[in-house]
Amino acid sequence: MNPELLRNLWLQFSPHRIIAAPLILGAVFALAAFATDSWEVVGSAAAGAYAVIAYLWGTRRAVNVLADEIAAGTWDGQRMSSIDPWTMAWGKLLGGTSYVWYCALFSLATYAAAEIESGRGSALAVNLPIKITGALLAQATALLLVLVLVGKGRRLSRRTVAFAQGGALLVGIFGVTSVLLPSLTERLGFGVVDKITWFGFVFPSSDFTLLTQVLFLGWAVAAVYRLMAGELQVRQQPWVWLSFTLFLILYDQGLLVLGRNDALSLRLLPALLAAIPLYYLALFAQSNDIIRYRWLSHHLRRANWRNVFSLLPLWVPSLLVAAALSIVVAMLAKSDMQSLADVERVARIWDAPMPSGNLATAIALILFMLRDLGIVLLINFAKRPQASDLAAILYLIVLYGICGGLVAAAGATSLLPLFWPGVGRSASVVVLAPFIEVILVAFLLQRRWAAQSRALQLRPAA
Amino acid sequence: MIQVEHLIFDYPGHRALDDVSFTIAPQTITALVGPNGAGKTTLLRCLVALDRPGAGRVLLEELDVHEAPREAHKRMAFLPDFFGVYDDLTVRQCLGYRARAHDVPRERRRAAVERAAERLGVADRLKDYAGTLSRGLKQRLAIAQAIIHEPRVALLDEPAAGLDPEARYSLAAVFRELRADGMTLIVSSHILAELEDYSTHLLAIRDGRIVDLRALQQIETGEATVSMQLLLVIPDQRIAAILANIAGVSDVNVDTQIVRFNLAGGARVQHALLKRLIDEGLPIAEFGPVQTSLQDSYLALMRKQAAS
Repeated sequence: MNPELLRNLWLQFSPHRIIAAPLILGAVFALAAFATDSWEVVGSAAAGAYAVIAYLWGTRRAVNVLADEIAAGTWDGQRMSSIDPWTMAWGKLLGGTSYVWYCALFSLATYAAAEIESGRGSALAVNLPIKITGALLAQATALLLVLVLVGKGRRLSRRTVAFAQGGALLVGIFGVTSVLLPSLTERLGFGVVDKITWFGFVFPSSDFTLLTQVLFLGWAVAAVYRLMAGELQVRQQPWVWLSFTLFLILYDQGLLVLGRNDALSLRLLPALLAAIPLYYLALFAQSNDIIRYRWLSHHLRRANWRNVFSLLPLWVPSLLVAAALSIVVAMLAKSDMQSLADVERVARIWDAPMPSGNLATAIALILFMLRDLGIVLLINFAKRPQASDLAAILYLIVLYGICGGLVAAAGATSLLPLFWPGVGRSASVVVLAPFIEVILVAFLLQRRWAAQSRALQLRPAA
Repeated sequence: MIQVEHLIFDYPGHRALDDVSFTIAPQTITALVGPNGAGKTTLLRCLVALDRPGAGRVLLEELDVHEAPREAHKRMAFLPDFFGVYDDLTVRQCLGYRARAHDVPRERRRAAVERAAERLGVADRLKDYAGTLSRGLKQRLAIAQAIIHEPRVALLDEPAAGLDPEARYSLAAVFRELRADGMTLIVSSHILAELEDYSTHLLAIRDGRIVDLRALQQIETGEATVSMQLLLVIPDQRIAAILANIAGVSDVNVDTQIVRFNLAGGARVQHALLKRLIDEGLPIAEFGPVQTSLQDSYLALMRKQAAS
């Protein structure tokens, strides 16, 4: 048996707790039944209890299964064991939440019984798996986020633990929102949207929610495994992240409402719009301390590719994908925009004065990504970086939102290319403005790099 | 047993280990000493593959620990300075969990738990919850957990911190027993008197660099050079010349009745030398190795390093 699972079972299942959970939950559901004499109310109470237990409590347990180890000083002992990353990952994920699932499944069984008694048993075949995979996805995300924080060298304070749980709950809300999609769209006046088309296949929205949750649960577990392997000092390479990037691009493509007769540039646009956020996600998901980059540079100079790949930040493949897609979309758009209809559609989607040139816009986009990378690294390469992620995000919000907004509001459109990609009167200005910014940031970065090297008083490494 | 080659480890703005290389012989207890911030903990964590160095490698019997950390952990044990035990598990469960986590085969697991508990003196507490144990017993439990898989090497970071003198004394006995059973130990501590009780070697680190690695005791086969001292009843002018002509003797220093010199060789050589000196008619009152405490050696070494 998985030792980590067994240890968690020992910790969580005392005879008292085994008896107490069904007694308390049973009393609550019985109260609902006797007070209202309605199976629907019992079903709602059970569903509510399941949501609270599996999502709120479950994500907290999934976070604490690692946070508690670190706080208690037992994590190093686990890292010193012979448990392989996969065994550790699923042992923690299922073991840490085992008692939660004991309570949640009791609630879920009550919910199922109530639904059958209410004559709505037919929907259970999809609803139950949705509820289970949704909670598993939220819990896996919670463990994933806490592993990300540990990997970034963060101290797991109450705030960071709450952040991980909050992020996981946001993912959990996706499932709930998707299930409620038909009634939501009806209330918002869009009619009942209870069908979703994905790669030409029409799914009932609940089936598609289940499929999506299963797919993303698979990726979340894969990510937990990879991060756990990193914690256990097993060498990592960025292939899984690259695969996830391609998966997300494909997933997005499947939802595209455009047909084969539409311009290819338009059909590829969602892929670009998925690749760019993934680049920023990768930029903030890993530690950007200068040591990693110093050794990356060291091994790169010596063409030590095995070490280079294991140190390669995840933003590198993401940047390459986003840059390639930018160029491809721009090149295709040039030929696609032969018809006026396409020009109008492109302009509408990009919300930018396209006459400046698509290629220029694509290059500007890449330069802005490089500038932002420089800003993030500049802050992280400080002698004593503090709250570097927060500071970097703040700077980016100021640059894109506040400065860009102020310049636009003031009507100083000639300055806009400095703050927004692809906006400008001529292609040269659209490219030159972010290029100057990149040069400036690179200069500052080089100075900080040199200062840090002097601080290390480096001798030639072996 | 352990071969460390050109290890470099950096923190932002600070090089914690700077081209560190050394070799640890099997079945020895090496005292890892150095001032605060010297790099002791970082070195130990790199040795057991809990942290990955930027450059260099650590070989454990030819196995590169950073290339195969899980395999290395089967042969190693580590007790960090801030260790923890599972307070809500019994001592038997704590040990049973670690035996499973180290792939101890099912049929040997019970025996492994009992042997580890016996070795560390917690066999009578197997049914107690770990949270109810005293600090000293928790320390013993933590060490029992760490070595339950019978590793070849155990590294312990400040294992005696917070222990009372009695507990420290019994811990020293445990380390000697582990060594006698064939284990190689590296123990980091600030309490030099305690290290002296059981250490065979001294590994001194300062500012991320190894400043000394040497044997502290004449080990069984001991052919190492030993500092000797003899006391004459009355001063004798012939002593310097006689010693200078004896093979293996070097660095002779005569201070009236007290004579110090280095002697290469073990107990037999010392016996032969003493016999020769008495045969020469020298009035010898005392003869033996210089008793220098670890603390004296350490302080002298650190002063020398600071001066250089």
